Amino acid sequence: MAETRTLPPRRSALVSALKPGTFGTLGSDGPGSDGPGVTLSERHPMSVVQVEGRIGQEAALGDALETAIGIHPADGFNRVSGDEDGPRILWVGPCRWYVAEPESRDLYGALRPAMGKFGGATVDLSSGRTVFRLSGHDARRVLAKGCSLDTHSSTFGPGACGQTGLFHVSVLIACVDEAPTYEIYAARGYALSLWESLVDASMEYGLRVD
Amino acid sequence: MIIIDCPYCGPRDHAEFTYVGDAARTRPAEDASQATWFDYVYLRDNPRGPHLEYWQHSSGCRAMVKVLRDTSSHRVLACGLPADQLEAEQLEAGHLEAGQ
Repeated sequence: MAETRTLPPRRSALVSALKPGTFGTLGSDGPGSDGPGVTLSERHPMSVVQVEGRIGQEAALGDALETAIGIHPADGFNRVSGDEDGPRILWVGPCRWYVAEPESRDLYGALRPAMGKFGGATVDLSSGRTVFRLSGHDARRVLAKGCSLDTHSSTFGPGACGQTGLFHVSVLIACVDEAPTYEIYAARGYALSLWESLVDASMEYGLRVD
Repeated sequence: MIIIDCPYCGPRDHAEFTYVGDAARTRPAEDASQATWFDYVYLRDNPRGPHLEYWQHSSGCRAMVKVLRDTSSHRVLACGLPADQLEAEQLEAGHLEAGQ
């Protein structure tokens, strides 16, 4: 039996940049007059595990996920199941999903035994992804500045997710609620750059950083 | 601006895709002549008009997409998975030439 060693707690990629407070335009007229139009924060630490099977195994893999963590992937492509605060399953490709939750246990360890029989890959991405939370009535305008995804509520409401480029960074965006609130998954190495782009894009609407 | 209709994700900007190559080529038999293999690996037509291409949705779901694109207007005429037979596939310029 191999010796089990634990890594030190993960450090946020944004420690040098994330300063809580209120910033940008909060004038008496126009954008920002009714409080910050955008709230930005980091969800940290998050457990993110990618699971994958072969095309055709969707139903069986979905059942195995439900047995392992209690929720089933949503039907269809580019959809999310689960709650923001519990485990969530996000579609990222044919027979491929992210399982994500606020870190509280060894999620990879919980999934690995159940996924082994599918012959696909189960990969712990927790140290490789930074998760942003972008919310507020101007959040869509901020996204529109940096990506071509149609985020209108009629096509990208709660439960929808999609992968695209945001300010030239590859991201997975999930709509969480009708505020609207978006969760954005980006590669850790680009997190600081993306954070700065999101802050710049948000300033004109008034920005609160939590 | 090219909009490619990913079979999984729906219409997306071509900036999310990576061009992969000519989809009108068929892999020759293992024992085909060296000239046939040379043609398959290196030689490409440069047709004006509808052309079958593979694109990968590399910033999206990573799936490969077969696209029939008009090279003179950039109009996308049909999209599908690589194994699909596209409705307008016979319009492919190479096919027309071959039939002439």
